[in-house]
Parts: sequence; structure tokens; C-alpha cells
Amino acid sequence: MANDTMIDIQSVSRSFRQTLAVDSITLSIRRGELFGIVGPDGAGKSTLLRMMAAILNPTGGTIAIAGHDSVKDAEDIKSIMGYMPQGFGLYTDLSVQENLRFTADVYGVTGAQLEKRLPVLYEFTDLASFKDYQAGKLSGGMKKKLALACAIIHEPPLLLLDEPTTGVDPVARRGFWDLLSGLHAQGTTTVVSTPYMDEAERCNRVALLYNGRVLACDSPSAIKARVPGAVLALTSSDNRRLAPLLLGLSGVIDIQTYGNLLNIIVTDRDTVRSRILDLLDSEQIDDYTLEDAPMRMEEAFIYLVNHAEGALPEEVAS
Amino acid sequence: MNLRHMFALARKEFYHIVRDPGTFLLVTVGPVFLMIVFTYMLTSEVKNAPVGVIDHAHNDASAELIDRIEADPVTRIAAYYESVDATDLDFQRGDIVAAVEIPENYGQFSLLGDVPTVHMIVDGMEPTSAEQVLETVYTIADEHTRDLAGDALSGFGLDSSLLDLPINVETETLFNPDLRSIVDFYPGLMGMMLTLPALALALSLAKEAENGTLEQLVASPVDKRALLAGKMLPYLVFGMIDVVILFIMGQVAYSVPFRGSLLEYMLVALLFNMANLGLALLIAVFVRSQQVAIIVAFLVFFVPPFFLSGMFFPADAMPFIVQLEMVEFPSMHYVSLAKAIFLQGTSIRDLLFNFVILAILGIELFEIAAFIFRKKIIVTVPWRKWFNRDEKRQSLTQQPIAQSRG
Repeated sequence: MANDTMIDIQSVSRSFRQTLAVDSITLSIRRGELFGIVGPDGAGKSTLLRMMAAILNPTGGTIAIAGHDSVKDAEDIKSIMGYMPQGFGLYTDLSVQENLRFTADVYGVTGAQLEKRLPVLYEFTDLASFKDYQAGKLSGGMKKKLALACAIIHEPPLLLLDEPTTGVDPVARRGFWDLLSGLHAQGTTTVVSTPYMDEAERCNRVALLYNGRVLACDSPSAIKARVPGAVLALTSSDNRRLAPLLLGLSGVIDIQTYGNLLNIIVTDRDTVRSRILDLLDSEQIDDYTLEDAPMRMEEAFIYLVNHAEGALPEEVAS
Repeated sequence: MNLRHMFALARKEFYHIVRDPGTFLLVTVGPVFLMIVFTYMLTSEVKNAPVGVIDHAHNDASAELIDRIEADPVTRIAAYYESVDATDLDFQRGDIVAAVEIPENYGQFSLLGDVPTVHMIVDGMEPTSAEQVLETVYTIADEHTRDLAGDALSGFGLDSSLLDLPINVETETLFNPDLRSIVDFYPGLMGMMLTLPALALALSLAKEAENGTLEQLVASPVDKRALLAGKMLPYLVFGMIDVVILFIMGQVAYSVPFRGSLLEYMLVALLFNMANLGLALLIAVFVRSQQVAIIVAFLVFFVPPFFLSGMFFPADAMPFIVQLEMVEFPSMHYVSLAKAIFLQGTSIRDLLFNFVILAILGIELFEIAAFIFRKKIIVTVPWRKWFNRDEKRQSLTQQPIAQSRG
């Protein structure tokens, strides 16, 4: 194993009774990376992260974190990592400060070290004025910030975050990602799972997870480059009628609807564009706009799901 | 064991207890309240039970008997009737629980040995009060008859002490409903009350599993024995506070005698608390929800101590296999030791077997829980998903459900 590998996942599987949540995944995450695990609900993101956090044993394959085996050396992993579970894992009846001090005790951050660390964390998360608030009374975004502060109290080289921005408003989400970027700049290896495709764009690399398998693992730009052709954005008064007609055109790969906006993924921008214009003409629609649009993670992900090799069974047969 | 971890957990748990009114009441007022309810239940003294009288004699002797019934604290005369049949309606209404029929010849002695018989009719639907009223009236009538007979003998110039041997009836108490039974039960009952802090501990750990805080904890480098010991410690402290409160309450309010060594009793109580809390941890390690924890804790903490620990029913009379089984339950040893120390002043040295087993349980149950506990999360797959799976498979094979079952 190369020395710059932080997480080495070798054909890892995990099944619950007969449901296969993670299906022989192989991944390698380098030191210092901001790595995204992206996928819809039920894709196996949490299961994979819990196995990385050494709190769930794989039913097949091995995971090594900084060279420690996740089953045999689970406790070694736990002291070098910060973990934020999907729900709020802290105590709602304890104040912000009490939660931080409790976590510090558990991670062995004490005395002068802690007194130096606390102001840094308050400053970093902007929680100083809330330190005597009961954690349960904080807003969703502040709870996540507190959980992050607890997770990094011992300055771990590895941070595992399970859907840290789910249920958080867009402004707080952006603020949270700014914090993650800050940690990344300090060299913390960060693995973050998210169902939001826009967040995936902020990662160095992402693994697209679907039905327990990795559809693609690359940098966001490389993943988007996998989708052939270009994206055309069409707004018109009669999208609903047009969509099936557009899909019938040769050269149209996929269509995604956003309100009255249609994102049309096409093989060849120029030829298909003229075909679309012809169609609009023959359907006698004049109040339209047809523009070039950037390929987004969302389009790329849905394209990759729809064009994944073979059918992906939801469960293994008994 | 990492002591810093243990004290961090203990401090956090202490905050949980004092900040949640429900838990706080459960471990402080709960045992005292339950003790008051139990002792009240066990002192079901009958007072002023309404009794009807059918007096056929109407003489001095019958008037004297009626006066004595009225004067007894257990009974009072509620009504007079002409015949037994006339009492039916009042019995049905519950206005009287017993009727006394005094015969015409009451107070008259025949030399032929014809003894006047007093009839008692009691309401069988009220067995507790019926039995006590029956016993009370019997005693009154018996004493009165003897007084009358003594007077009669004196009238003949004979010594009334002649009477004592042949007719003297010792009344035997079938069960002891007065305060003396509370004294007998109190030391054992104290143990029952101490299961409340243990229940609170099991609930607290199940709550952490439910809320997801346990996931955060098991992902930390916390020492697992320190984790369990730290959670247990505050409940042990509250349990011992309960012991002191209940002890003082027993002395002051129930005049429970204490004849043994206080130090020895406190040691027994400490070990019993530890064993109970260890058992609670063992339950909590297996269950993942508060509802299940309550049900299992009820079965483990309340049923065996009540019926099998020898508190109410003698343990010696139970089948050997049950006695063998009860060796594993701390409550049995606690009840034996506490009763002996309280009431007989026995030293631990004389009950070494119970003490040693209790000490082993006090340490071992915790160790077993710590051994079984894994710093992993337990993912529960909902059963519904199971059923849906089967339905899916059935619809795929297009078999009617009934057929596929056959």
C-alpha cells in the first residue's frame, strides 16, 4: 500500500439478513483528500461510512485506515478519526460547552491543551455566544457545527461525516462546507457522504454510489466528462407535450425536467440542436429559449444510473 | 479501566439524571413512594366493619354481647333485624359485611349440656374483612360465654378457675395483618425498591441507542468498561442514597427493629445495588429500545424478587429447580441477608453462602455485561421489509399466497 493512502477499501460487502447494502466496493482515498460519497437514500452511504469508522464490521472484504485493519485494530482507528453520524449524536440536555468538554475527556484532550483548543473551536464554528445553550435548543445548522466541533476536538487526521448537511437550510449548508474547505486546507483527510449533487462539486474526488455499488469514482469534472455530448436548456410553454417527442429524436440521450426547464443531453450539439429547432417549428411553438447549459453532477449522475451496465438487483437472491 | 473516561461518563450521566424530572423522580422519590404504597397494601387492617344483629334473646347477656361487638375497633353495629332473611337486601347493597344471630336461650346454661349457638353470616365476596370480622366476633362471643359460665359457677359457690381447662380456646391468627407483618417484610421490600435505579439505568442506555448518541460513543476511543462503569456510577450513588432514606423511614415511620451491624447491612446493600445495576447493564446490552428494556426489566426485576425470593412465600417450600434457578438472582440473597441482619441481628459470617454469592454477582454481572458489550452499532432491519420481500417474491412467482404456504 502506498504511503499516501489514508483509506484502503478492498472488495468490501455488507449484508443485513439477505439485503446487500454494500456490494463489493473497492476504493482508495488518499491523504489530504476531500472525498465525497454521493448517492441517493438507500445507496449504502451510511453503511460504508460506518464500516470505515470501525463501528460496523464488513461481511466481506477488508478496510484499512492508515494501515489499521477496521476489524482487528478498530480501537486504533477510533482515536485517529473524527466521526459525525447521520443523526445528532450529541446530548441535547447538555450545553454546548458540556458537550465539548465531555468529548474532550473521551478523546483525551485535557488541561492546557483543551483550554487552548476550545477558543479555536468556538471561533471556527461561531458558537462562542451559544456555549451555555442546551444543545437541543440549537438550530439544525448550529447542531451540525457543534457536532463538527466535537468531531475535530482532537485534531484528527481523518474526518468521516455522514450526511452532515441533511436537514440544514441552504445558507447554513454553504457555511458548513466553508468549514470543511478550511479543514481540508489544513490537510485533514475528509470523507463526506451526501445526497446533494451540488455538494459533490466541492470535493476533490467523488464516488457515485448506487444500490451498494460504485458507479464511478473520479474528480467531479472527470465524471461529468464521462457523459458524452452536451447539455441544451430548453424553456417553452408546452414542455410536457414536448418531452416525449424530444426523447424520440435521434441524438437525444436523456432529458431532465426542472419546472419549466428541460435539460436535454445530446450526443452532438450542433446537429441535434437543429433537429430540436425543426421539431419546435413543426409543433408551432415560438415562445421558447434554447441555450447551451453546463453539464452538472446531477445530469451526470442520472445519466450514469440510467446507463449503468446491466440491471442492478436490489437484493441478492437467497 | 480508564478512570478519566469513567468520570467523564459519570458526570454526563449525573447531568442526565438531574435534568430529566422523570428519571430524577424515579431514582429518588420513586422508591419511597413505592414503599409507602406497598406497606399500605400489606396493612389492610379492617376497621369499623358494619355488622348486623338479629337478637332473639333480648336479655342482659345479649345486650352485653352487642355492646362488646360495638366496642371492638374491628366491628361496629350497623343495623338490627328481626330475622336472617331481612338482612339479604343490606348484604346485597354492601351495607353490612356480617350478621350475628343471637339465639333465644343466649346466656342460659342447661345442665344437660345444651349450649346456645350464635350464628354468623358473612359476605364471602369480601374475604379479607369477612375473615377478620368472623374471627373478631368469635373471640368476643367466646370470651363472653366464658365470663357468663364463670359467673354461673360462682353462683353455685364453685371456683370459676375450674372452667379454664375444658373450654379455654386459644384463638390462632391465620395471617398477620397488623403492623408486625410490615416489620417482617420491610427489609426485603427495601431491596425491591432498589430495582428502580437499576430500571432507570437500563432505560438510559436503551435511550442512548435510540437517540443515536451511542453511535457517537462507540465511534470514540472510549474504554468500554469505563463507559459502562461510568454510566452505572451515578445510579449506584442514588441507590445508596435510597438505602439510607428507606432505612431511616423504616426506623422512624414503621418502627422496624434493627438488630445487626449497620456497616454489614450497608455492605450488603452496596453489593445488591451493584448486582442489580450489573443486571440492568446486561439487559441494556441486548435490547435496543426503551420499550423492550421496560418489559425485560419488569420480568427480571419484579417477578422473581416478588414471588421467588422468599419475601412473601418461603423459599424452602419451592421446587428444588426453582431454588437452584433463584441462586442467580441477587434479590434472593439480599432478602435472606437483610431479614437476618435486621430482625435477628445475624452476622454476615453466619450467612456466608448468601453473602459470597451476592458479592460474586455484584462484580460478575458487570463483567459479563462488559464482556458481551461491543463497541459496534447494531443495525436493526425492520421486519416489515422482510414481509415485503416475501410478497415481492410471491408476486414474481405468481403464486397465490395460500398455495405457496401449503
